[in-house]
Formats: sequence, structure tokens, C-alpha cells
Amino acid sequence: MTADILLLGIGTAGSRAAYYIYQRGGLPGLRIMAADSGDEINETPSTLTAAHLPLPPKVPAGEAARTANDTLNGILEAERKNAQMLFIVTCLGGATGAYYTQAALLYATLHNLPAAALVAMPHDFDSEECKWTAQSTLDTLRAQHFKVLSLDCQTFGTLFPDASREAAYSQAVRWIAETTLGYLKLFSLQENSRSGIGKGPTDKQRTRLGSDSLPRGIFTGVPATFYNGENLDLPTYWRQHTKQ
Amino acid sequence: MKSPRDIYLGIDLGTSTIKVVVAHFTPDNTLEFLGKGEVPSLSMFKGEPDQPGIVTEQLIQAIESALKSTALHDFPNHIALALSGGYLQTNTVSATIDIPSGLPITENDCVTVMRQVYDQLTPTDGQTGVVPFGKIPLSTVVTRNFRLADGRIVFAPMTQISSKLTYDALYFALDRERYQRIISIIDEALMSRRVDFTVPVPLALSCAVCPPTSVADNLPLPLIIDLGAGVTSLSMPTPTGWLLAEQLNIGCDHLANDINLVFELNDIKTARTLVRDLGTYRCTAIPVQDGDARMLTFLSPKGAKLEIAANDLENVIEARLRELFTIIAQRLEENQAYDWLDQEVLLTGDGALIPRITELVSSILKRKVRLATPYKVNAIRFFDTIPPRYITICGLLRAARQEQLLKEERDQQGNVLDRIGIGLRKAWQAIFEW
Repeated sequence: MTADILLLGIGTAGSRAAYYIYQRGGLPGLRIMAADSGDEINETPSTLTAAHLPLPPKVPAGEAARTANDTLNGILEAERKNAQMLFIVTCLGGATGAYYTQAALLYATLHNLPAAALVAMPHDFDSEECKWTAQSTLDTLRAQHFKVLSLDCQTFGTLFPDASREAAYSQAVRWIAETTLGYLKLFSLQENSRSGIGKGPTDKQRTRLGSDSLPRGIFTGVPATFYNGENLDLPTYWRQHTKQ
Repeated sequence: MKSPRDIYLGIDLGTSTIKVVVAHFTPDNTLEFLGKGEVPSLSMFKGEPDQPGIVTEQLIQAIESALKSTALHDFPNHIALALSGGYLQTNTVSATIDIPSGLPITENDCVTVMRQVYDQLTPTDGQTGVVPFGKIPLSTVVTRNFRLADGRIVFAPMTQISSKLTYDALYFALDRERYQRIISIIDEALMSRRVDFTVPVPLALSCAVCPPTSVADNLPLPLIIDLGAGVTSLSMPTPTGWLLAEQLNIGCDHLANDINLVFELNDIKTARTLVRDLGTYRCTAIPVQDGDARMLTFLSPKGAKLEIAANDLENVIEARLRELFTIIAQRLEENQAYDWLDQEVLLTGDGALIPRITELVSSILKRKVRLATPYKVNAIRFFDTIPPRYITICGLLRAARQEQLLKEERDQQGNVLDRIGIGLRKAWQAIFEW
């Protein structure tokens, strides 16, 4: 029996993690998709399936919730046909991640699609509102018996006391991606059918993400080669292009 | 057929392929291949195993294949391993002594200052050595150079007049844990046998390419650059040791990875094939800026049709190679090695076969560049000409033999000071072990 897993990155952190996994070549049988309500999603390379979601509705949601759910359901309906499992990666601190993760898990339950989510919790320095959103969403998800694994960035951040906030976010994205790959490796049994040529990350993406967040391809997980403070595992072509 | 006691088995755990060669030396010092085995490494990055189990299986295959191609039924008596990868770091250690005023430097002065370096590397109880925490020093320590009070670098300081004599030596620090992974693989593949000689690749390179007499007292010095799949090694031998013997953890795999990421192939195998077959696709290290005039069409292993403009591919490759060799030029400057550099630089490793790489390197290093060839090797049973990727293992076997001869000589000589004396007098032999 073969496995075909639909990996859905929700929100900014989730989409970046999905993109990172995609750049690493994913896993056999893994279909990767990113969905976010921000503008960054529009800059995702054409070869990665990406979807722009409406802003999550505020409480009371009313009609806005139905519109938002219709959009997400439409995306999942198109993508789930061959999927035997839905795996969501996200950060619960943001409204998009919090709202759409719950919606996607509900959709999967209604369609008898096994589903799980890997959710990153906010850092120590994130706002109280962000922490509250994340914790209450996590409690809600667990109360509904959804399978949710949480990554405690608050603890994780203490391992890098000198890291800046920007670096901490990048590290968290990589942590989500690497954990997802490790978790899904056991489920993935068939050859990945994705192929194609694109133009790589756009200049804007490279500049915004910084070199820490760019994928290292086959060198991910291998001690990086640094020279004069520059990570030489990243393509020279990209680094020089960004500098210009 | 010689008995196994005169035969050497060399292992090169490369990032791209694992190579094992069984060989012996003829009376005129020709290295003669008796058997060889080569298999893909499958799970090596930057000279280090990712999944040790897979690498062990591959190594066993390579050893079996090498032994099968000889008439040997047992392991040769001498087993040598080439060391290369991120776990290996070259460091410098120095010591200085005062020389009595007006007197020329003697051999005893040299031995004294060398002994001080030796003490730093093997501290007695209660003393702190120079080796960083978590690292272990390889027993091979090689002479870098001597320095006089006025800052001049010399390789043979005897009879010079100077108030001080400084000795700089190179030693190799191994990351304990990562090195242990390599040793575990080797032990498992060799079963009850153990490796007799471990030789860092930068040292092996010059042993393969430069006959001992080729590095004269009055210089200039050759530079050998091995562009492998995972690691690039630099070797600059002197009459008494090495002025430069280090490695950069960048190799042809970086070229393949760059192509894979920049063109979003999502298929490292295809990217590696592109790097290996650049000549077939009429691409070179020096881009021809012709836009989309030359489109490369090929099939991925999954059967998908892919297209890349040759010019784009060349730009990506050139960017990486130019950066790598610019770093090498900087390393030469930082080590004051440029002043001693010969008019010619020698390239080895699979990367040396990239079309027009010699022109590119020549433009960066400002020297003529050509492919290196090993001296006195007979491998006619296996190759018409020795491929550049086999030069390391040729040097490894030569270094192992050299060490074996020295070991036999040492057994007759006695203590460390005698050994230091031998090392100083003999070109190509390190202080304590070579």
C-alpha cells in the first residue's frame, strides 16, 4: 500500500515551513501546499501549490466565516482526492493559523480523512495576545480530540540566548519543517512525482527571509560550511544576486 | 604473487564514491595496482557519513570487489585510510627558543624547538595542551616552516644566524565524535582487522603527485588542489613538510546542490549528472553569454522533460567555482604561501574534469593550471590513464609505505629525539611519525 500525504502549511510560518520542505525535495508521496492570508503567499514559486485565503473572520463571524470556510474547503476538495492523510503545519500565534487549522481539521473529520497538525507555539518575546490566541486554540483543538503535536518555541528559544527575534523565527520555521520531515518519513512510501523548473525564490523573498531561512538542499542537517560569516552551503548564485 | 605482508590496501571514503585499491610497490618504487573496487557512497555529505549503515554496506562491497580482483584470499598486511571531511581540521602550533648570540643554528636547536611543540601537543598531567576541547590530535604532525628573528621563513634553518628560532608545525585535530563514526564504519567493514595508517588527504595528494626530489631546497613550491565531491583539499609541500595542508568543506556536490535549488529541479541525482556530464551538454566553467540560444533538454529519472538554458547553467557553475577559488587565493595570502608558489598549479579530483576549469582557475590564481598526474603508477589492468579521483588513493598508499619504512627504521633507532632527527633530515617525513 502506498501513502499519499497532503502537507498543508497554514499562515506565514506554516507556509514558510511548507516552502522549506518543498525546497528540500519533500518526501516520496508527499504533496505540499501553502495557504496564507498575507501577501507573501503570492510570491511563492509557481511550482509550489499556493493558495491565498481570505482574512480570518472576527467573532461573531457570521457570513465571513462561511466565506472563509468555503475558500478553504474548495482548496482541500481539489487537493484531497488522492490524499490518504492531511498533515498541517502552522503557528497558532497568528489569526490565520489559529482559525484555518481548526477549519481544516474539521473538514478532514467530516470527510473521514485522517489528519494531524504540528503547531508551533509563540516565543517568549511574543505578545500576550499572541500567546493567549495560541494557547486557547490549542486547548480547543485538543478538546475536540484532534491530533495535535505542539512545538514549544518558548523553551526552544532559550537554547539560543544570543539569537535575535528574526533569527528565532527563522529557526522556528526550520524546526517545524525538520520535525515534520522526521515525523512523516515513516508514513511516506511512494515515489514523489513532482518535477519541473522554476526560477527559485524571488529577490524579495531572499531579501526578506535572510540567508538563515533559505533552504540548503542536500546539506540540510549537515554542519554548515561558513567562511567570513557567510553560509557557503547556500547557492553562490543566490547570495550574489541578493547582494546586488 | 607477493605475500600479503608486502601488499597494501588503501581506503578512500569519498563523498561520491568509495574507492578501495590493493597494491604493492615494485623494486623501482612503482605503485602497481593489483585490485580495485569502487562503489557509490550513497549516503555521504562533505566527506562524512549521513547513514553509517549504508556507507558500511557500500564499503564492504568495495573491499570485496577489490580483493576479488586480486588473487588474494586474505586482507593485505597493511591497511591505510585517507582522512577527509568536516571532522578534520588543520591547526598550527608554534614554539620559539633563543639562540646564543653570534652562533649559527644547529640541528640540536631544531630538535629542541621541535620538542617544545611536541610537548604542547602531548601535555603531561596538570598542563593544558593546545588541542581544543572535544578534539583529538592525529599523531601525524608535519613541519610547516621555521622562522628567524627577522621574520624570514626558512625550511632548513641550520647555519643561519639569528637570535631566535621559531618552529611552526601543522597538526590535524579530529572531532572525537564524528571521527568515531568513521572508525566504526571501517571497523565493521574490516571485521577483526584494524587500520594501520591514517593519512589526511592534503598530505596524500602531494605524495602522489610530487616525487621527493621534485621539491628542491630553493623552491618555488607546487600547489595541488583536489576538487572532490564533498571537500576541496589544498596541498603545498616543502622540502621538509607542508606549508599548506588544509581543506575547505566545499566540493562538486555544492555545484549540484546549487543547480538543484536554483533551477528547482527537486532531483539531486539529475543535478549531479548534469555536473558530471557538463562536457556532453557542451557547457563549460566559463559562460558563453548567449541567452537562450542553447537550450538543454533532458529527462529526469522520473521521465519528466526538463529544459534549462545552457548559459544559465554555466552562470550558476561559474559563480560557485569563482567563489571557491577566490577563497583559495585568500587562504594562500593569509598563509604567506603566494610568495613561494610555483608558476603552475595542479588540479585533481573529479572537479578537475569540468570543461575549461583550468582557464577559470588560472584567471583567479594568476598561475598556469593543469591536471595533475601521479608519478610511477602502473594501473594498466584497470585504467588507460589514472582518473583524477584516484590520485588521493595513490598518495595514500605511497604515504603508508613511507610510514611503514620509517617505522621499521625507527624500531632500530630508539627514542623520540632520534626520531625527530630523522624527520628533520628526510624530506617528506614528518617529525614524530613520518
